[in-house]
Amino acid sequence: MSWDLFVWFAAFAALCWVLGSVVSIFSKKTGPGAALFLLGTAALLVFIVGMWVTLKRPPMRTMGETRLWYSFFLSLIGAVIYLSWRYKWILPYGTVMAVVFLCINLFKPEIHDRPLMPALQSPWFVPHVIVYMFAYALLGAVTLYAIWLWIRMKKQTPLPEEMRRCDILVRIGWAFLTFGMVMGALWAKEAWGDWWSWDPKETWALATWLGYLGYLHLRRGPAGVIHAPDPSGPAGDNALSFDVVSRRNALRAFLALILCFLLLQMCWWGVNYLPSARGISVHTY
Amino acid sequence: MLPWGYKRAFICCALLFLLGTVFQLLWGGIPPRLLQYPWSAVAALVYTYGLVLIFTLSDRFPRLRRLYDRYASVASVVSFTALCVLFGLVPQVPDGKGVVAALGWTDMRSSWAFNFLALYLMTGIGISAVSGLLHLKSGRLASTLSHVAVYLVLAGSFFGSGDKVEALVTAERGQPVAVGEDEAGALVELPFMLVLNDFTIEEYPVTGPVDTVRMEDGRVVTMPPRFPKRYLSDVTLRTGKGERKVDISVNHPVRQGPWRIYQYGYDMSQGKESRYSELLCVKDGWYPVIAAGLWLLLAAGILMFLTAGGRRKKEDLPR
Repeated sequence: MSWDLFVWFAAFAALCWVLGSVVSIFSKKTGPGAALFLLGTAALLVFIVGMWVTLKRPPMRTMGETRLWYSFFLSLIGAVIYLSWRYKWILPYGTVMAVVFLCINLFKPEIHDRPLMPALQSPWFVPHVIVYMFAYALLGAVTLYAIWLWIRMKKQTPLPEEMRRCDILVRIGWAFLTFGMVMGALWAKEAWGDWWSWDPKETWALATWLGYLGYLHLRRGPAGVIHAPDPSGPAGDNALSFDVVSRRNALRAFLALILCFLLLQMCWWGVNYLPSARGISVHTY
Repeated sequence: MLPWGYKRAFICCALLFLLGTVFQLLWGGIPPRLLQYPWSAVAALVYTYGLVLIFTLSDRFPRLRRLYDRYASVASVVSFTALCVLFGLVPQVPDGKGVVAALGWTDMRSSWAFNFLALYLMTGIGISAVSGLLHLKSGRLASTLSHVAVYLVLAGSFFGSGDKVEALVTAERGQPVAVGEDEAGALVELPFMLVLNDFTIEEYPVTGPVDTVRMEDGRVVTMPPRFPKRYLSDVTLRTGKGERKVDISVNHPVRQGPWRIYQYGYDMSQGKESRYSELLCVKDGWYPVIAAGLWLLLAAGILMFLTAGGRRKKEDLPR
């Protein structure tokens, strides 16, 4: 497998995703659309595994290579969300996001055929990167979900279960950020004798992790959870105040999610352009 | 718009930040190795006991709850995040000059404001951990576990930062050496002796395109690129009890009592012909505390992932 073949795999995957999305919009069953969509994801997986075998190292060292995983996980998570909750918009959204990252790879390839340097030869390397990519894809998905709910707010206040869904996705995403960070620390101790060295990427990863932790605490307990209106009470005032409170809480949550995702972007690639990180980060290759 | 509880907690963070900045302007950064064993351990125990005390007293003095209620948790996390952003934006240079350096922002790790807010955050997390442990509920297991784990990691690094001993040993082939240099350049005596028998750099088999290199005299030479596969030091370790031969390479440190020895570097100008190998010897008494915290955090993350949807059964999930 080589990058020369990438355009074919990318085109096939994109075609499957687009067809799967179209089918998902018009079909009453989830099966056919999801199957077609997942065929595209599988094609990408074949390319990734092929690259892994050819390079004799996991393809997750360069930005270009991590984008492959991002596309893969975004489409996979999109399909899982579609199968669990049957949103008609999720597959088209997953398609757009995944295709954007394929296109970046096609038009801006940062391809290095370099083998794995000694510091990266560790059992922690593969899980460390994969859990981060999974977390990024999941948190990217929940951010777009939040933006969609926000735009829709002019017409409809987000339902309690929709907010709950955001919280669940963030909780899973945060758990995976935690895995990535802890694995990184255990690995760094083996490699350099330090758990944590305030490498710029680490600093931003901590900021991201803390940001989502802040979201989870903001949403916890009576201040965060949107209470369902009391069905036995009078509908009038009660319903109005519920709506006002829940709108305010929802807005706060959406704003937090977007800010956190900006931190995540900074950590993922923004840090490469920061003067404070130039040349001193072990995370820039 | 914000409830008063949030405002109060954020004001508290801002005051801590201001106080830290005043300290910074008066005395400069926090000196390294401020706390050393046994005082570091005493401080950690007294502090932890203090947290237990605060929690048990908070029934009688409800104001103490302000240290760890939900407002404090959000405010401390958000404020510390903001400082991390500052940390990430300002280039970190040890001997910075100018206003930014005077504020402590160019050496954030040793700045008072950063450490004050870390302490505030750690206090809230610690009391929440105590609260969770004393009132164990199955529904809050993931939360309790993560508070305990993060507390162990934070307290271990906060109180243990002065106890870590690092010695960089430059071992020349065949020359026994038992002393290294710490970060400040001071000599550190080791309780064992190192003899470098051999240092090798393994390279990947040469494949792929060639690199074009312009030599100093202007000639252009093409050669295949070389990539290191393994840096390996073959070392004999001598202690009072005897000696043993060990291989030390990147990602494969060797333990010697409380010390761990890491492959750190070599003479880059000589490459494969390097006459010496740099070995980093680290003694870190707080290793078990932080390792326990990290593994616990991993477990907490798994639990959080498994229980992310709450205790509601799957049939109840909204469609």
